[in-house]
Amino acid sequence: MPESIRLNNVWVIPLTLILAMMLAIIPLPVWLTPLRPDWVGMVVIFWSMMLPRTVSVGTAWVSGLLLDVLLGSPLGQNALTFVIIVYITSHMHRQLLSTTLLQQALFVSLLLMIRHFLIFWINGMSGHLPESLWPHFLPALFPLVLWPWLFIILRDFGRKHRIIPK
Amino acid sequence: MKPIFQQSPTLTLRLIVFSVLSVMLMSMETQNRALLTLRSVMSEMLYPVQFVVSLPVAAFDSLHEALASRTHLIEENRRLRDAQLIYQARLQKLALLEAENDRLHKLLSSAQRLEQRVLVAEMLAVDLDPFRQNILINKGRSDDVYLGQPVIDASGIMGQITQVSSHSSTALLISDPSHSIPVRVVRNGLRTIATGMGRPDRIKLNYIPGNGDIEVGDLLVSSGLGGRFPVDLPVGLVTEVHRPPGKAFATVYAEPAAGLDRSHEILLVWQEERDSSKPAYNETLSETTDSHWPLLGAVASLMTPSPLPTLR
Repeated sequence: MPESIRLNNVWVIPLTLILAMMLAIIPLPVWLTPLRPDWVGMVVIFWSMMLPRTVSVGTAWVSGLLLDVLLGSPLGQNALTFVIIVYITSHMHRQLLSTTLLQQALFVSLLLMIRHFLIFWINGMSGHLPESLWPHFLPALFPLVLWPWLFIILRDFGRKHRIIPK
Repeated sequence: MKPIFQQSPTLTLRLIVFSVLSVMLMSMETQNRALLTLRSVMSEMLYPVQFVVSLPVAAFDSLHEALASRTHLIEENRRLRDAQLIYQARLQKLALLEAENDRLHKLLSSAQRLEQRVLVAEMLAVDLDPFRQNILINKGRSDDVYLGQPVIDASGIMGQITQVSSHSSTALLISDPSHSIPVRVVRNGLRTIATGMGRPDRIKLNYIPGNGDIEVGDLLVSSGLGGRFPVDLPVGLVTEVHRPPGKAFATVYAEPAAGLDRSHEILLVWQEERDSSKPAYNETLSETTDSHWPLLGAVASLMTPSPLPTLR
């Protein structure tokens, strides 16, 4: 499957990433913060699944670094976790694209669980363990509900700008 | 069909390179100045994003202000005027005390007094890493904010600046587990260190001996020993004291005096030396002698700046 990409429309990818980052820092009431879905994680997985040659480990690393700066987390924390989950995704993108949306959602959920486990681990090493584990693993459960919608919206958006082949 | 793993060698290589880079960044950032600059450059690039995100909240606030009813405004105005009057009265007393204190300091020839300049800053309405106690504020290098600068609010010490870019900066709160602040019990001058616990309503006091004289309700103020925070600003109130038998140290918790998760407006403090001669040992001496005015000192340092932001 050749990727017939209109190179001058690649700005769509950073645009969606930046929108996801905005959703990641938008202020929420304190009780809602653990329920914040991992938007950037899902968008990065989407693009690396759809366009594994364009969006790969490098893009994931840069967007992770930007997210680190935005969130004030240690530089490299999100970058490392994105690199790892995107590596897995781009290895499996063919299998992923041929499965149903629900199976995809399960897989994305698993990937995000890996990501948040890594963050949990890094936080633990720097002495930032939270009192309960929920804030670490709830964001990873959201794809079960959100992924199909996100997938369809992003895919149609990508098709409209012709960076995803029909 | 092409083989699935056709591109994998370079991909794996890149995975390794980027992972190693990330781990290096994480482990070196705190020591390396170049990385701090990298972060501040990147955060400058990303400031528009943060600004846009905080815009709706700011717009809502100004709308709220614009639509506030007249009676409400009159009410608020009266309340503020009353508060102003009370503070003014306290300030009169303070001027007297300050003069007296100066005289005593001169007698002791210690002259260790700090003049404080204060700037009101606002927190940007964005959420940061939920596992770290950080806040983002709207003043940066262009307002002379510097690394390690103390940040306070109207009721106590909030934290210190850990990252500065040109128009914004990040402050680490005293409730972060990686933050510690030297404090002193007002009642008896007992010195200790308060460390964050990762939640805004609780800090813990380290190295208090099992028989140490500390009680629930004791006020903790900054001792100024590290030279980073101004002396005698409120840090917290002791809320729990446990003395487990058989342990060398008591377990003591305190509630931060500052509204770490509530304050919207915060104050940045600059410390300027009034006198250059400063024998360090005299500071500790004078600290214990005048134990009745630290609170007033705190009030004074909050009073010196330009009018409160709510008055505008």
